[in-house]
Amino acid sequence: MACRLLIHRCRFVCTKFATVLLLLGATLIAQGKPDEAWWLHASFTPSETAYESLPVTALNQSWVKIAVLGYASLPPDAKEDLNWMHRDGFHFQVDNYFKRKEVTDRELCGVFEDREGRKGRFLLVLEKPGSGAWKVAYLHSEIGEPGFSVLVKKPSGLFWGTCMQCEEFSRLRFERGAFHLDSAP
Amino acid sequence: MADIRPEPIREVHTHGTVLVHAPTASGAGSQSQRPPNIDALVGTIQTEFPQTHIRVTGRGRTVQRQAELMAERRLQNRHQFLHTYRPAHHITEMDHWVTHHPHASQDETVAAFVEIINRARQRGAVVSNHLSDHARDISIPHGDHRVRSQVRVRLRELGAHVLDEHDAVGGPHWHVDY
Repeated sequence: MACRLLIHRCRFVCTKFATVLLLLGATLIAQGKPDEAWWLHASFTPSETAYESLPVTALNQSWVKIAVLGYASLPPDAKEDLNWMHRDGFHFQVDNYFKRKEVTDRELCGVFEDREGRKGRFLLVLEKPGSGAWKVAYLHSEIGEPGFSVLVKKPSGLFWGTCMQCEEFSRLRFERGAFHLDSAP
Repeated sequence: MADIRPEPIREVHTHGTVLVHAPTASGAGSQSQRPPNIDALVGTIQTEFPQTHIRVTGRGRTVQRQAELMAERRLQNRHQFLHTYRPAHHITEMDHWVTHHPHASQDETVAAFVEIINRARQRGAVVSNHLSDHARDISIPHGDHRVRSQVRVRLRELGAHVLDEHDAVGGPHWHVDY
């Protein structure tokens, strides 16, 4: 009898718990929080003080730490998306895309933290002559979340974006000796 | 809690086939009840069509980000700025502000542009189609064309406009305006 009572009580508690979970889900939707892709809320921790031979201050004088993004740094939620990301040409580092004579370039996505504790994300272009050291050729940074960004290679150019399957992509181009990032108006 | 009753499953007949989905617990299944905002709209669709695994893939820009982009463009190249944006009161206002504040920093310019954008939007101006409070990018619904057509019809019923961006640089998606 006691055992039956216990089972009944357990069932009651479980049902209540499930109901609360369902209601919580419904409430979140009612409050306007739809299911979002992981890249919209992924956050990365700037933890490095240099990139290869370059101290972080050589990238930006006010920065103290960075992290360069890569497939290995993505959150566990990303697992089911990795196949199509590879297939569709998403990269966190691109080497020598612009194929200039005697100069190698490298494009990198990352996050930073500055001396005042502000964080954000960046697109960095490095370049070096044949056997020389890397130097900064272009840096675009956005103060805010130290979040996701990615490069995608398309026949129409190299694009940088802060999401995927979305509109927010800007074309990186090299013109008249300098790099430019063209954002949509 | 106990007041929430299970609702009947709604059947939708499309091209001779029967597709079934459950309406929301809040009753958003009726055409007359429109979600209060874009997030609630997407939440409604996700609840009504769980098998399509729709997720928000892009949120659009905040006013701050829009101001940063416009300030950057205006400070770099006035001609390009005026050429990029259609003539409008807020564009003239931004242009004049920069002209009359030649020593302003980029941060000050962005702050001024944020105010200009907010005022323009209060007047009803569309500053950019990329602003986040009326648009979302969502993944293309899983399923065949009939299922996608159903989702599209439902979004329209709820008052949204859907643009199929399957060739987008950033990957295939639907752009939803609401």
